[in-house]
Amino acid sequence: MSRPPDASPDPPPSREVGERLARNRARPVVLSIRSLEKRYEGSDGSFLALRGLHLDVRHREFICVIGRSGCGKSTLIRIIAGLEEPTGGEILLDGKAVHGPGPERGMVFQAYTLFPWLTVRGNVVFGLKMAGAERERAEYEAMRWIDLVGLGGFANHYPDQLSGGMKQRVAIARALASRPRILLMDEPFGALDSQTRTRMQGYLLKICRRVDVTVVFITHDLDEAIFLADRVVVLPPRPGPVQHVMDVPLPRPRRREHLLDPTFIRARRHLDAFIHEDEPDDEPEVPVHGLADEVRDVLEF
Amino acid sequence: MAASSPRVPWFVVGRGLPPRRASALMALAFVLPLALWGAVSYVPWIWHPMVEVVEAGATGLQEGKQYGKSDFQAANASAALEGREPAAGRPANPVFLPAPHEVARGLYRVFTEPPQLRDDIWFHESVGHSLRVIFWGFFWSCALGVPLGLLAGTFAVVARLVEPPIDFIRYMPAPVFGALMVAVFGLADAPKVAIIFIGTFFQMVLIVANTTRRLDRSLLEAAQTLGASRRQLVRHVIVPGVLPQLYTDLRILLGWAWTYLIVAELIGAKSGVTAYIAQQGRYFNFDLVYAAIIVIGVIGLVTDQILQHGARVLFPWQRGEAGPVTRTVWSWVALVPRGVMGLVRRLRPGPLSPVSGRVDVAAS
Repeated sequence: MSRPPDASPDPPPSREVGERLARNRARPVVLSIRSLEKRYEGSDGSFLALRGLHLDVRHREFICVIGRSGCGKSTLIRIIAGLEEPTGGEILLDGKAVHGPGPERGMVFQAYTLFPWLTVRGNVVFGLKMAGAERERAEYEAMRWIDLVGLGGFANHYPDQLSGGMKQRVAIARALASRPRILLMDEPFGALDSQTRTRMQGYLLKICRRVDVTVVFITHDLDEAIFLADRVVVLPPRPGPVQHVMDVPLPRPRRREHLLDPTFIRARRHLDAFIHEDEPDDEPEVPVHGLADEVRDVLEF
Repeated sequence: MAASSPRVPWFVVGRGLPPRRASALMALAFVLPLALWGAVSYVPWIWHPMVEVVEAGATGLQEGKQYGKSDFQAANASAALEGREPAAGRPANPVFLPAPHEVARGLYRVFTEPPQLRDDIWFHESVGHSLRVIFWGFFWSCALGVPLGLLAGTFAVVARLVEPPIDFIRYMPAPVFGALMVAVFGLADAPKVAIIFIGTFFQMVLIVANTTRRLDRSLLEAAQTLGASRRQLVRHVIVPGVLPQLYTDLRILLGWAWTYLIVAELIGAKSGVTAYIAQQGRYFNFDLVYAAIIVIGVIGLVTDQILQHGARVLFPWQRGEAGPVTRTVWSWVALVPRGVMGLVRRLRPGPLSPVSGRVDVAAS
């Protein structure tokens, strides 16, 4: 694992946190990524998106994957979901190689992707219907998931009648209704405003406490990653093995106050060094040309 | 109106109009051409290039017939020169432009006047015949074109196989198949149905395939991560996903079918409204010709409005899809029951009035 020279060592976890992390490490591996490679062949040569990627995700872990834009985060999660085939390496779920998409790997997309012609209930029932569940049983199950995400009163609404946050809750309920072994989330809150995003993070953690599920969560927001995750995985800016894995030294359940905790801030600074490594510190000074004199006076003042 | 909206500008880029102004403009769109038509028909010094002879005198012109202004004057001039009695006439429009009231009377006559010859058909029979031809042509077109289009839009294999020949054929004008279809199907309705089919089928396959391809691909991906098999993807995602747009496509293609109706009715034995209109044109009954054209237009408009309204009933998740014409027409239709209720309330002072009075108080 390479490490930038100015990065401080991993922040030390408290005893309580250390015990929880140790318990996590003792759990069985659910998802195993083995020397994954993805190369896109285009008309103007090939483009390497991922190379030599290894990662193990343990049962009931919450993993956040971060990295600079264009580092292949989305490609990674799409390959895990089976929406794209890797050009090398393999994905093991419970020790068995997987090919193509399947309901045991649920996915929540940034763009909601709810079926507009189905009601909230219809959307959540969808996966159960595909699996051939009996209709009444499926509707009953679906309502439980809808209640879990707090949308019991909206079961008969169409997606177009819901706000962005509500749509994403439906998408989460829809993915969970198929009882996936692992829940894949591709920047699910990226399109939401910051207040809604904060609320959604709380919802998600609450849901994960009550549901037996393992989560791989892609984000570019460091605060979000630290706030949600047990472990934060940093992908390298150029294709290569995982650059860094950080155990988040915060206790659970997470609370908003943790964002101001010195531990949190240290963890954030620690990750910052990876993400913003060898980027210029300050923007170069741009001379103010072509502005009217009055404006320049104001600016200089 | 001027007082209610003094500040709202008339020309705003990319924005709608206040509802009252919108429906006023809609009404104007009908009234203005009518007014223009009326002016040309009833004001003698506007246009009127012909002269209808009222009294022939000794000019040799025929009474009741129309002549060009210069011919009429030349005839009168030569009559005056030879001391014969001149003709009297009044300005008239050419026979192909009847006045509004004549066309209005034509709208009645077109249904009541029996056919001139024993072999001729009534107007409503001709309309019925045309509708039958359109229905069957469009029916077969949909029955084959929609599934094929869906398959071509879903599976690249089908698209590669089916689309090139269709692309080739669709640029051939449907009329070129006329003689062939008559040879194959004989002189009855079958070749006419075939022409409508040819005119719409090939376009339909390509349009439906395109509509299918435009379906949001991420919906397919989402369904796959929920465990949908290939067959389930088609049945539970592609079909319901394209349905609203497919409906609109078919509505537009139905308009195409009407266009090809003319061609279809001209091949083999002339039939339907085309035959009726051609016949009346030969008798110079242009009021009936216009009446027939208007009836066809009304049939088209009413069908389209019904279909547009049907879309809102069929696809409740799509709101605010109605076009400007639909919205105005339905707002007018909605006025009718309100007006009727108002009348009823006013005409019946009995037991109803205290109730309605209470409602009014509650409402205010």
